[in-house]
Amino acid sequence: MDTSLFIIQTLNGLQLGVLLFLVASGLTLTFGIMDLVNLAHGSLYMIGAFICASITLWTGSFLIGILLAIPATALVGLAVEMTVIRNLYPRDHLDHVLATFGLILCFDTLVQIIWGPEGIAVPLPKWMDGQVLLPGGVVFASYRLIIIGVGLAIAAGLYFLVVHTRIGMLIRAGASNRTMISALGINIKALFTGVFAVGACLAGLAGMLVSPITGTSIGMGNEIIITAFVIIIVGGIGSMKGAFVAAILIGLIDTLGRSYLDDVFKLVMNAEVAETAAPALSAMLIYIIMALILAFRPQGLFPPKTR
Amino acid sequence: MSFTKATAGKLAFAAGISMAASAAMAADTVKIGFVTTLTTGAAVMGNDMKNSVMIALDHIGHKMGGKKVEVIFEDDGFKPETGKQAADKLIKQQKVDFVAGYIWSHVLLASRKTVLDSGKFLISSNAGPSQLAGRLCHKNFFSTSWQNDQTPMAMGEVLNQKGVKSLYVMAPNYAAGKNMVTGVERTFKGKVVGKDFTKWGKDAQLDFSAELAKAKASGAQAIFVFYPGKAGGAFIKQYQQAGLRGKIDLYTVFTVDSVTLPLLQQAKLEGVLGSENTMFWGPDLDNPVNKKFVADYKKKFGSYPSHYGAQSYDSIMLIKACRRCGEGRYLQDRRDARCHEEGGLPLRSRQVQLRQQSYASPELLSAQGCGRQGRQVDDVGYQDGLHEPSGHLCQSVQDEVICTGSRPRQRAGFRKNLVGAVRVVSGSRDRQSGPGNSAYSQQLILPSCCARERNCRTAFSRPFPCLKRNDNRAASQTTHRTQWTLRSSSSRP
Amino acid sequence: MSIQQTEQSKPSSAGPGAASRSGQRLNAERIITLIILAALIVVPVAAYYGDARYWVDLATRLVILSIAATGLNFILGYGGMISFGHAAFIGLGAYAVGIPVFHSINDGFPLIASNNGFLHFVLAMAVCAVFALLTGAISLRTRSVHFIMITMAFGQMTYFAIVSIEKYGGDDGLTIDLRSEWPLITFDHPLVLYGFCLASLFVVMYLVHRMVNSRFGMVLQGAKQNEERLRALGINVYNYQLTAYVISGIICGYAGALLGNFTTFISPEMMDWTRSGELMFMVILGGVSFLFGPLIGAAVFLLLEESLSRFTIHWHLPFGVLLILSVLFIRGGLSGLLQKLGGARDR
Repeated sequence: MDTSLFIIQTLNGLQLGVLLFLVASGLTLTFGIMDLVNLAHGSLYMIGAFICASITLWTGSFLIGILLAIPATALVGLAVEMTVIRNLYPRDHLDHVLATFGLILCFDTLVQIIWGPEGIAVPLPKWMDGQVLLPGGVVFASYRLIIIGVGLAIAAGLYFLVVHTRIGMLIRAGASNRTMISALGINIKALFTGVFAVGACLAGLAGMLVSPITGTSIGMGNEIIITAFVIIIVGGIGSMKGAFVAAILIGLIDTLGRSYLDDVFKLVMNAEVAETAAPALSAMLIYIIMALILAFRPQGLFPPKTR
Repeated sequence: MSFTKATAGKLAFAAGISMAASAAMAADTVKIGFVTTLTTGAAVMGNDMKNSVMIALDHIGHKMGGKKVEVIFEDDGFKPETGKQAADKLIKQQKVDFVAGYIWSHVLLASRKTVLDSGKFLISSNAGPSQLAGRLCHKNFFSTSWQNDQTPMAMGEVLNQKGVKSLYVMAPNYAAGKNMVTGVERTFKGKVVGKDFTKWGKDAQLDFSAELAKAKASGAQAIFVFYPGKAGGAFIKQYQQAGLRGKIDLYTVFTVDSVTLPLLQQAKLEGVLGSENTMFWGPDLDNPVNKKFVADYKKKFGSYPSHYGAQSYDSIMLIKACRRCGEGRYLQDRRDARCHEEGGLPLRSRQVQLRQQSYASPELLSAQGCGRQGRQVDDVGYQDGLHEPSGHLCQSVQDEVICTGSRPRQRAGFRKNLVGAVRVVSGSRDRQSGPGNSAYSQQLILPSCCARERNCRTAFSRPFPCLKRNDNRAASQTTHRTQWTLRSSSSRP
Repeated sequence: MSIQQTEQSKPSSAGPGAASRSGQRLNAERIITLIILAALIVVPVAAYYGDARYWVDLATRLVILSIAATGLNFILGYGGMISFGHAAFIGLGAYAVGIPVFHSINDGFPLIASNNGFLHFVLAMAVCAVFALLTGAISLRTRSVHFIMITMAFGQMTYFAIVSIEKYGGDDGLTIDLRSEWPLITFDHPLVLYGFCLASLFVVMYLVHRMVNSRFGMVLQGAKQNEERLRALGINVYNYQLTAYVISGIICGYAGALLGNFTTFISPEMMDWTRSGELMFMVILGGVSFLFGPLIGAAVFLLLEESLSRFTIHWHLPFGVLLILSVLFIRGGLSGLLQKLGGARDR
């Protein structure tokens, strides 16, 4: 096996993993703390990407785009929380699914009305848009390295926030026992709203980071939301650590599966069958993993301690 | 229950006549249903098609054969079931005379039965699933586009001409993607060192990092891709970001077009510059009708049309042409002519004969009657079955597909230079004949879909000779001419 | 809620007596239901002869989706098992029609190559039963949101598996030009097909009604309320739930076979998770654990889609808003709303 190719693929997998983590972390927070099944989380990913893309084209700077789009996405998140989501907390999962699916329809249509159907291609600043030579003679796209760096930094920041601050304590308490913290006189409403907005920012940021690679498109959030759900199930609902590990795991498995599965298959079957079977199996891979986890360890890899 | 082809044909004929009669009685309006994708990201193509239909209507003064034309647009939402419902609605509620449009193969396949069973005409303005060329061949089905593997076959020749010896291939994992790959592999003489089919469908894969890394590691001289719509833009960006530009040359089909180019230009992504594609049409195709179409489109909508648009324009023109022949008998005579003649004809011999014809009376656009597409059995290794490659059906299509590449020169003009080669969009036409009027064509009549016969097999079994030209203009001229010749065949007295 | 409802409508035998007894309280619901039933019989026939055949198609789709939704409601509404993968059963049922027809046209696989309707429907139900048994046995080890996700995972796996089978069209789907053949009747006549679907719907609804009010159904509903208690009573809840899951799968497979016959085009798209979602919405919109809920939900869903899409291609926007509003303000679905109206008036 070609080592440098393997390193590149691992880095690619890592980059996908941290992006997935950004989406999944917000989802696992809202799910773990508010017990909210939010299918529309992916819409915030899309909204973030579109706002950032517009600002980037307008100002000519991707960085300004990100800096302005983050608070903008937070505002959208707040608006959604205060109008719709807030009323859903006391309801059951069925109502969540139905209402947030309604939100998806609204957002997708609004984006088409506002930005048109064609999506936006986002330019990168010159200094991000090259390749770097890594030790070992591996050439890798610098922007993808930046994503990995940003993602890891945010993961570290979230870890600090959750483990070492008072807000984090509330969040952990919320994930462990929701009723208890409201009984302790915490302003649960504000906490929920805040958590939702943070989740919106994280999802939006993931959308912004991915847009120079794939461009923005309508429905881009619906593509990632199912994967994000897989991740939080695999990691354990409400667990930040679980979301991180599972996201990296899924990112790596997905990327490495796409790269090596057909080679592996070619060892045991003829090339034509392998070419058909490999993409099918790599598409199914994450679902198979989730089903296995659910069948044998339904609480996920790192479930939060519940009482 | 089981209709034979002959009964189906008769029924279709009868239905056509009665339709003509009832339509003549019912209204002075020709109703055309146009199904395309107007929502989701794919709406960018659908809107282009819709706009082009509007231009076509403007050009014909919203009249066909003295009757008013009404076009009813329906959205298929990129879903086969929604598309079928739209077709149902058009046929049963709006009572249209023609159903046209269709970007996607699976949507077209889903709607096919509804439309054809009702005796109406189905005109594909883009989708070219191979089944409709073979097993599902129907005389009321027409296409103004192509078969999936024709264009990449031309690309295979381009690659040969460029001296490419090793190629990496990437396409989405669905029927059209596989057809495209089959096409390029058929004509490409070098070695395919790697192949990736990526996830497609609703949550299509848009991050190609793993595949591009493999391509780079494979040491291929060139990479061939087919990524329509938004995936195309995403691919080209990542191709550039992965540092492949200048290392592995990019060759595409249906990936770089006037849908993706403006977006790339806006984002200053120059990775696409210098890449080559084959295309049967280009906005700068030099013939009067195309010039008028492109100019008017730009004037009205401020952008260049894409081939989706050109094909839709053609669809309306095709319908108009049908309306004009035989006074109210619609497509009937014409269709029979084309179907029989082109379907059953041993294409090789026809080709030779056609070349001798003059260009005096160019046929309107490149309608592909079903007949052109007999069921194919070829010697490249395909068997009868669901997956029928279209390559050989179109020996004739070599006239349509040309081997040449685009050479975008500079950014300022690079939209304009999005060109491959070309097809005629129109010419004037004035003919009155059905097949019966032509001794020549009678001689050629064979049952459509005849390729099951052994003699047809041999006729189909020659490899596809691509035109060996890579000069844009010269090639396009040649194409025009050969095409016009081809078209004029059925009009000869 | 569900227990209360079934107690109200629990008859010693299903029949007019039951209707009149519960009728006093369920006035509005009963009237609306009767109107819908009458419309289901009258409108398509009138439309067919009144040259508005599109409405026959719409009604057929409505009835088929209602059957599937009724199947889902059986486990979702009464059993509390929120399956997010039921579209897979519909798809499998449709392919159980498509694949035999494909082979009867194109040779190969002589074992199932046939146009025989009995074969198609038995095959559809058998395949779905096996699939439901296998996936249910694993899925039912989980609870709540985990169950939602694992059923979705199995649905997605089926989707990708079918997409990869190129022989049957893969992503492009499978076009069949023939419908299931029966003695005496032909599905090629739209009204006959519609009548068959409608009769099937009534039979399915009656069967579900009987099951819900049997001991089996009581256990199922009891497990939704309090699983521990049933377990303490020595009842193996898992077996009951698995049986219900299989029955529900069979009903959806049957609906899928009808859908395949109706559209004569079968695509993996039928199994996508959004389709499972739509099915769920019909159930929820109509009101979970109401016998007529799925029918009302499907009717409202389709009619909304139909009427809104007439005004604008951006009809998803008002549709989404209505969905949200219905969740926020109509609890218990439309049936629940009707019931409340009826109850209020009586009081």
